[in-house]
Amino acid sequence: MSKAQNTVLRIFNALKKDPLGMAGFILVSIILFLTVFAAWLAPHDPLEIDVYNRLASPTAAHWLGTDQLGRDILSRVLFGGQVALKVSLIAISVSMAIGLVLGMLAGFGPRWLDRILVVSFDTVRSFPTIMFALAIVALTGPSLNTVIGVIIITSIPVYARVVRTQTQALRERDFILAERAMGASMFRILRYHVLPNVAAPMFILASMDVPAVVGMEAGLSFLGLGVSPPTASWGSILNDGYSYLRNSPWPIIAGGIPLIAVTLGFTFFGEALRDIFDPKLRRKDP
Amino acid sequence: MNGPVLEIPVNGPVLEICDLSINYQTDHGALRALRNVNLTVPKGKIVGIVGESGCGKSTLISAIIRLLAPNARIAGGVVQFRGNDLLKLSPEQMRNLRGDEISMVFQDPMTSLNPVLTIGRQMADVQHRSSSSRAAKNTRSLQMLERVGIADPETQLRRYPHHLSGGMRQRVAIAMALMAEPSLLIADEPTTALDATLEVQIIKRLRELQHDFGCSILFISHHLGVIAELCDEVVVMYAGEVVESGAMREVFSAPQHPYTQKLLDCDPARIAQKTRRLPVIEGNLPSLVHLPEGCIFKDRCTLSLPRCATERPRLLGRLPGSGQTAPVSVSGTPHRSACHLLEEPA
Repeated sequence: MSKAQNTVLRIFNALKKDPLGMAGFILVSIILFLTVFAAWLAPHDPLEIDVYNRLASPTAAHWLGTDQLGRDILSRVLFGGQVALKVSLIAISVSMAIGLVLGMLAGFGPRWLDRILVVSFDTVRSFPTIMFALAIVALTGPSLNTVIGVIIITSIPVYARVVRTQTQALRERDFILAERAMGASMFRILRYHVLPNVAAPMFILASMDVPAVVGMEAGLSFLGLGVSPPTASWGSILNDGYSYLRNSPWPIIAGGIPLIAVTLGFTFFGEALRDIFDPKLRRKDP
Repeated sequence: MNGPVLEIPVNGPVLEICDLSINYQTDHGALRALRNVNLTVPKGKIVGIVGESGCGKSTLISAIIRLLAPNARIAGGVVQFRGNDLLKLSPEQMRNLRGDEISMVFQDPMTSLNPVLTIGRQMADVQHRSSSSRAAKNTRSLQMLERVGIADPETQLRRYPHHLSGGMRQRVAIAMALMAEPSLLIADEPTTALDATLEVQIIKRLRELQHDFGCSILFISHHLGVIAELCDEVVVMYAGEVVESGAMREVFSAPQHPYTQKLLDCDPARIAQKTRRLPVIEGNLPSLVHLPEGCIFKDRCTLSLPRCATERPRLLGRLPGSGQTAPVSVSGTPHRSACHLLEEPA
């Protein structure tokens, strides 16, 4: 059996004993399924306007009702999910990759490099994210790419700091010292010995980071800094619904529930993963 | 960039340390961890270093492989490895020597292997200098595992360190260290973390391997029985100084320095009478920041003379046959010790 199969099996066996983790896993699977296949599952075109049918309550044709322009909310939520997941996928993988490299360099490299990197991480973290996003949008204009860029820049320090701490703990370990005593270069140690040891915590962190990134995208789109108007995003659905809250509660409900589902699903799943991969528990393997 | 960077002469001692002194910069001042240490590892011999915790054994080996703590300063001395001063090599040259010409086995086999990589992966990784194919590296790993006495090496290569027992892990570590057939193997208390039966097995195996590979071994231990079993020569260290050195039999049968005598008296294997209390050496190690004047051992010595308080004894060898003392010559392995008692008429 290959190592990957082994890992999948181990995760699955552990989830069976952890109902909350299993719930998270199921929730995440449902969300991923619905958004990935949104184009087939959506009953309507999310941009199709039907002014005679605006702000309708749920009907057989429009399961979640319609918004102020008569667009089908269910379809908009499904396509909005695509935006949210696209943003989180790109932003998290890019910031994780950069964070891994910078964090390992800070944790393993010379002290002056560590100082410089830590100061820059702290500098980035000290800006309020929304203010930072507003400043960037003022310069470049609202677009999804700007949202992704802002999220990447503000997330790099989060990953880098975790990797840095992990690397610092690892560099004192005997097997890293043994590697050095056996003539391994810094690159070799980082690539073959530190990276596999910090990778598992990274994926757990990434899983728990999805709700934050999705929330950030929704927040920026809510403020009109993200997707441009006709495109659906959970944030813009909420913003549209907010203006017409007296007329119909459905846009707010429909835009809010997926955000809650994503938060709960990825958090539970991430916590279950953490329990599975925790190095302290891991040692007890037969 | 790769390949041999140094001219390596064939004869002469593999390792020769002359007057090596190392300080650690601390908030309280310089901690003088090693002072004028002299040590020779002849070709094809096993040299043991004995001494209690804090005597500078670890600092000494870190200095040899040049992996000293960041606050360590080399205050003087030479570490000659096959004719090259290791302290003068560039970091790149030094790195090429490590794992190739000088290898190391660590104390705790439970922590000296990477927990997330298979044994096979780690053994292949150690061969990173070799340009041979993956299959050839694998064959080489199998061969090495067999030589260190691991049953069913094929299966072991696919397993993770936590699947293996401590003894097996230490065998794997030894196999990895000997992979490149180094001329010097440094073993830092490799049996301390193992139980007694395993200890004997590992020691026997090391002896055989040393014979087969023809390498020299610098063996660090505080277990006198192991040193006696394994080593050709022994160096006794106390508080950062070499207090006695010589052929193992001579040092163990006729110890010259009071510290060596006491150390031997404390060995449980040597206790003849039944007793409720194990023998100890009274007193503590002196402060290495504020070094006392004179002999470093005088406060714990029961035989100290007036001059011990003021005059630091040098490491001296007796000329064989005559009772006279002679200045230390670094080459050769006469029985030497740093004690004023030697100069007293018997």
